[in-house]
Amino acid sequence: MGIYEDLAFSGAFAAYTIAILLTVWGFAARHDAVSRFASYVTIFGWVMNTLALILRTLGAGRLPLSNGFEFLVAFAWGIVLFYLWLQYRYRLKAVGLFLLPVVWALLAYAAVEIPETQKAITPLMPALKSNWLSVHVSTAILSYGALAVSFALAVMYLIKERISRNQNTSSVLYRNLPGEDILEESCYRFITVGFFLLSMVIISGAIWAEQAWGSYWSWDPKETWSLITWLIYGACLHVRQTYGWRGRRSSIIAIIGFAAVLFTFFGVNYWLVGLHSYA
Amino acid sequence: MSGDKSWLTKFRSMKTGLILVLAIILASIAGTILPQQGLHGLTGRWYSLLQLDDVFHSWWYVTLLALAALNLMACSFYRLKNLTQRREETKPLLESSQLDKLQEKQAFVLTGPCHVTGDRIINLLTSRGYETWYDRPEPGKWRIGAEQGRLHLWASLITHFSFLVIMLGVLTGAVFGFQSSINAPVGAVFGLDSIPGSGVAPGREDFKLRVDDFRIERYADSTPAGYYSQVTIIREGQAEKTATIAVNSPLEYNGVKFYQASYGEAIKVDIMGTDGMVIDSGLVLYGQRFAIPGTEYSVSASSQLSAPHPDGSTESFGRQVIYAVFQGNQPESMGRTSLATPIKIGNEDKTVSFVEIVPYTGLLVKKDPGVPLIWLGSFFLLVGMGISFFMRPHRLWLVLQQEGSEIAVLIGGISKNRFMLADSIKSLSHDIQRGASTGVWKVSDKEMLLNGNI
Repeated sequence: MGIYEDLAFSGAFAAYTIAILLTVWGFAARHDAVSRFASYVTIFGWVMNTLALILRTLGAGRLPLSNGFEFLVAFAWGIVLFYLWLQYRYRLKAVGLFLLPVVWALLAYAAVEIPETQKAITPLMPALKSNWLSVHVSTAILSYGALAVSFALAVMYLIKERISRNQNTSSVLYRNLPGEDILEESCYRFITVGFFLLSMVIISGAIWAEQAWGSYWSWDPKETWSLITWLIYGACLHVRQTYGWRGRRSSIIAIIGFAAVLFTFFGVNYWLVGLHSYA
Repeated sequence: MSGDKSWLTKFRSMKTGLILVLAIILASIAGTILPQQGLHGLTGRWYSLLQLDDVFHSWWYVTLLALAALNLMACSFYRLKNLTQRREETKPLLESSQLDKLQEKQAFVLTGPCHVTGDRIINLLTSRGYETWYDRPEPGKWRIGAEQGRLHLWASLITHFSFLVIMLGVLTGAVFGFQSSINAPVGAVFGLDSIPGSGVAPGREDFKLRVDDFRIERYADSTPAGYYSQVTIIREGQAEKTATIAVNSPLEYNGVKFYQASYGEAIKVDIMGTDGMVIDSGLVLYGQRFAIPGTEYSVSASSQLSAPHPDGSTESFGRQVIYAVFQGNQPESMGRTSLATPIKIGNEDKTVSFVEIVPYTGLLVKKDPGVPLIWLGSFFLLVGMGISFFMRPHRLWLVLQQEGSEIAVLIGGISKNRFMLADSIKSLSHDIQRGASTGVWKVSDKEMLLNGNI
């Protein structure tokens, strides 16, 4: 990792850390100016995050999407991108409270747990030398980003719903969380976006696999887990549409779905062995 | 009609579909966690009965997939039947009192003559992609209906049918395709008849492939950057075309694809008679036995770098061959020899000599006529999902009522997506009010282009 990329990475990490603290403060104290400042700090962090990716692109002469470290930095970037868009579009407060910690954890993991050999820019192995690499991985980043946002919204919904069932409507958490309707609706929207993109990830992966390995589907653990994730979200959309499973039940499925996303990325890499061993 | 549902109704229900999907999810998880190699003992017996060492190709997993496919097929055809039997839809118009009962609505007042404003509003709606219908039940009154996203009705069907196309592709590949591999030393010429599973009878191949060269390119740190096989297609004895096969860049010829899959080294072997003349020669591939013609013997061999000589001289530093001689299937002898040193074979009056090391390229040879169907299905899957998720079907109704010099406007609508509907009504109201007050009606660029305004 170059010194400037290192700086940008640290800048992003620091900004996200500060943004979390400010978000908590603004939320607990119901202080709008602080919340707004938290958004600006998040934007700054995202710019730094973008810069880190650009510097790595320049350093490597290719998009930084080819190993676990690069993917994590881009994954965090994708989540914050959707978070900022959500802020702009739905003006939902307090999402950062549940989402930024996910971003923080991903970057902390990237900084601490990933070995230095992976952080260094290494030349691409032959199987990764394909135009499909950028299509496949960039859609994965966007898909995972959207699904991470849907996860945060589902958690918020469950909290809000639980408090309102206990009729504890005077609590800070209850008063500061957005309405159940809008949480449920925007969660659903993000699932549809993430699910659509996930389909693109799987299809582009299949096209690529057909080109590189001669087979569009090999039941490799990564492939299988992406299919499992896809089926979970697919089932979620079907029960919502047909049985009207909204709110609590669809939120729980959204959380299970995101757990599957994380397992597809982390679990498969660390516990299961397969063709897809680079990231 | 009895209250009991027929088995078909039950089978094509979404409940059945979801149960199957859940079962597939659980089975797939098991397939990624269970060790996919054979075990011994009791677990081994269960393993082999349920084919747990190869879950994804086991009889029960394939059955699950097939049932899910049938469920999907039944459910899709049922939907198609419903959709085509739909009566011509009525296009209702609503009165103010009915509009008032809708969940999302907005009312405002404009100035100006109703007939002009009514036309303008219909233009605006059309330019926004709405299908519109209207009437004027009495002078000074307009009732307008507008709809967007009717294609949405078909979206779910397109999505589900796309799976059937994909499955058809998988089936086509399984029935009419093959996949095999060959280790071809540089210089070798082979046809599809020598590829196991290709179904091409010996001597009946359309073309042959000659491997002209194999090379590995490396980065500065010596990690491989690429593997390249230079090949020539030979048809009726004539070189027809040359190509380089690399990882991510297979060669496709006559519907057959050749992929760069592996590489290695083969050992060229000469067979000599008592007089020391070479009778025959061939290649010993890694892990394979080479039968010596005219005898019941065969040899296998692999090469390795010999250890440096103890006295430090580098002369003897080179390749050594470790070989084994088999009589029938029985190992007869084994040993270590240098290149080009003859060894005697059993009681035969023949000797063999491993003369040189030849690099070979491992090619995956595949034919899968189902692949285009897979991509076609994938494409329609995305189209169907795109329409489902990103097209927001809704209906709007407007009532315009002239009251003196003013027009009372009421807009209401229905949609599954209330937030989007509220947005649409809000922005439409905004545009209508702005258009009426400024006289500048916002229409899409396309509309302006059609009217020659750009």
